[in-house]
Amino acid sequence: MSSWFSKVFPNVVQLGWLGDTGWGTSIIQTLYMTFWAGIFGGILGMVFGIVLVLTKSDGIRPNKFWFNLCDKIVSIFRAIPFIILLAFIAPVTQKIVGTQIGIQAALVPLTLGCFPFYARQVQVALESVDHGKIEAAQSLGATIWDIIFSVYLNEARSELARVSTVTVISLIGLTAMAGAIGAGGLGNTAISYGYNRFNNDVTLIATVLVIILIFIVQVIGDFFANKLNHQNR
Amino acid sequence: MGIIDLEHVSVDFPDKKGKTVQAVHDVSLTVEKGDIYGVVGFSGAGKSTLVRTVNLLQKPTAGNIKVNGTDFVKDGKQVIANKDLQLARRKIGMIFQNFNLLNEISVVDNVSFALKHSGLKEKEIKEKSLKLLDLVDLRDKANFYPVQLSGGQQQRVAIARALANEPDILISDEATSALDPQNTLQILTLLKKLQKDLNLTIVLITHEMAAIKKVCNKVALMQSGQIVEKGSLRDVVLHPKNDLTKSFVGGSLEVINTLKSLNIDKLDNDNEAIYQLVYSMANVTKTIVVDLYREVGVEASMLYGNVELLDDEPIGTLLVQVKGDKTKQQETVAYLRKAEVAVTRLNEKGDLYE
Repeated sequence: MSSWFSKVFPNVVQLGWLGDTGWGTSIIQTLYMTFWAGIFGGILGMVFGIVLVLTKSDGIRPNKFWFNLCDKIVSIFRAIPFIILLAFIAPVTQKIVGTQIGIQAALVPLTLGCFPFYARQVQVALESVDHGKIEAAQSLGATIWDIIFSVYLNEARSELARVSTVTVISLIGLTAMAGAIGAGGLGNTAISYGYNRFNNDVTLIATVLVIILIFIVQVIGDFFANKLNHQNR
Repeated sequence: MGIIDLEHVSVDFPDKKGKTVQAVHDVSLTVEKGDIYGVVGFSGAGKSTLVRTVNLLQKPTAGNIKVNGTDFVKDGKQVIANKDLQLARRKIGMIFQNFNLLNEISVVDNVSFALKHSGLKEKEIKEKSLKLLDLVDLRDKANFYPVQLSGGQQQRVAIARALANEPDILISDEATSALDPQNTLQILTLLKKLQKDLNLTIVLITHEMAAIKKVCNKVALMQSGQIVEKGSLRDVVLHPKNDLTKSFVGGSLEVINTLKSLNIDKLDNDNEAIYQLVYSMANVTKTIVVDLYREVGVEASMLYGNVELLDDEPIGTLLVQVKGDKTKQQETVAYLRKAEVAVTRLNEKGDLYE
C-alpha cells in the first residue's frame, strides 16, 4: 500500500509529515490561521453586525452617524481584493505584531478580510428576527442588553450558526492566499511545492485535504444549525 | 382623570415620497381604572398605532400622554426618561396578534424572561412563572417550545408573560385575530376573568365588533386615524350617532356577509329598502315586523335575525326588506326611531345606503 502510494505520489511523500515543508505542519498552519482569524474576525464582525442592526433607521437605537460609519468601513474592506489587502496593510501589520511576514503577520489581514463578510451575514441574520419579538420585549421593559442577547442573538442563533459556517469556509479560502506573505498552510503547499515545481501530485493532495477540511466544517456547522433551531422545522 | 389619558394625540409617518401620512389625528381618549375599553375599526384605521402610544412603542408627534398618573408625553415631547419608561412598561402588559413569543426558549422561560429584572431569585422566578402558567391553564406545557403549541395556547402563554410583572394595564393588539372562533372565545373569556380577578384595566383593539360585544364595557370606533364615536358599549350599540358606527354595531360582518351571500338583485330604491334594526329586547316589543304592517302599512320581509347578550342585556339585530314608496319609507324610519330602534339603511351589498 505505502509502496504503491510512494510510486504514484513521489513528491507528496518526499515533503514528509513534519519539518518546514511537512504536511502535518501545513495542516496545523491552516488550522491555526483559520482558528485565530476566525475568533478575531468573528468578534469584530459580530460587533459591527449588531451595531448596524441597532443603529439602522428602524432599529432600536437609530443613529445615522454610527450606522454610516460602520456601513462604510464594512463596504470598503469588502471591496478590497484579499491578495491586495495583504500587501496594502503590511505597515499596519508591522505595528500590531512587529513583523510583516509569517503566520502571525497573516492573522491581521485575515481578520480584516473576513470580518466585513461576517458583519454583513450577521446583519442579515439578525434582521430576520421578527420585529414583533423586539416590540414584545420592549413592552416587557427589557433593557437593550436583554434585547441584544436574549432576543436578537438567541432567536437568530440557528441562522448565526449557518452564517458562521459559511464565513469559516470562506476564511479557509483566504488562508490559501496567506502563503504569499510566508504564512505557510495547505494553500502555500499547493502553490509553492506543487504548482511552482510542476509537482502536480502535491497540488492534488493539498486540494483534497482542503476539500476534506471544508467538508468537516460544513458537517459540524449543519449539525449545530439544526440542533439550535426550534422554530421552523 | 383616568388610568390612561390621551389628549389630542397625533402620529405622523413620513411616506416614501417624503410626504407625511397621518396615521392618528388629534385623538383624545380616557380609560378609567377597571374598564375593558374596546377600540374597533377596519384595518388601517390607526387603532394599533394609537394604542402603541400608550407604552410609547410608537412615539406620537403631538399631544399629551399620561399613564397611571405619570406624564409620558407632553406636547409631543417625551418627558419620561428612558430608564423610567422601562420600569413603567413593566406595569403595562401587552399581547399581540402574532403572539411574539421567543421561539428558541421554552414556554416557562418565556414567562421568566419578563421577570428577569424583578429582583427575585432564580428559583422564585421559576416558581412564579409556573404559577402564571397555572393562571392560563398551561402548566403541563411548561417545558414545550412555543411552536409545539396551538395558536390559542401560544396566546395564553403571551398573556401569562404580559401579566408577569403584575401590570395595572393590559393592551391587547388584535390578540384574537389570528385565532379560530373557538380559541377567540376562550381568550376573550380568559381576559374578562383576569380583568375581574386581578383588577386589570384592558384596552382591546380589534376589527371584530363581536369580540367587543363579548367583553367590553366601553368602545371607541376609529376611522382614518380619528375616533368617530365613543362611549359605553350599550349607548354606542343602541344609540349610534355616526353612520359607520351604525353599520358596525349590528351583526356587522355577519350582516354584510349574509346580504352578500343572498345576492339580492339591485333594489328599486324608490320602492324598496333594506334596513338594519338594532334594539334592546327589553324596551322594544318583539312583534316589530307585525307592528310595522299594522301601524305603517308596509310589508317587511326578514333577511337575517340575531339576539345576543350585552352585559346580560339581550340585544336584537334584524335585517328587513321593506316595500313601499318614499313616503312610506320615511314613515317606517320615523316609526322605528320612535320605538327606540337604531335604524340603518343599507344597499343590497350590505354597504351604507348613500
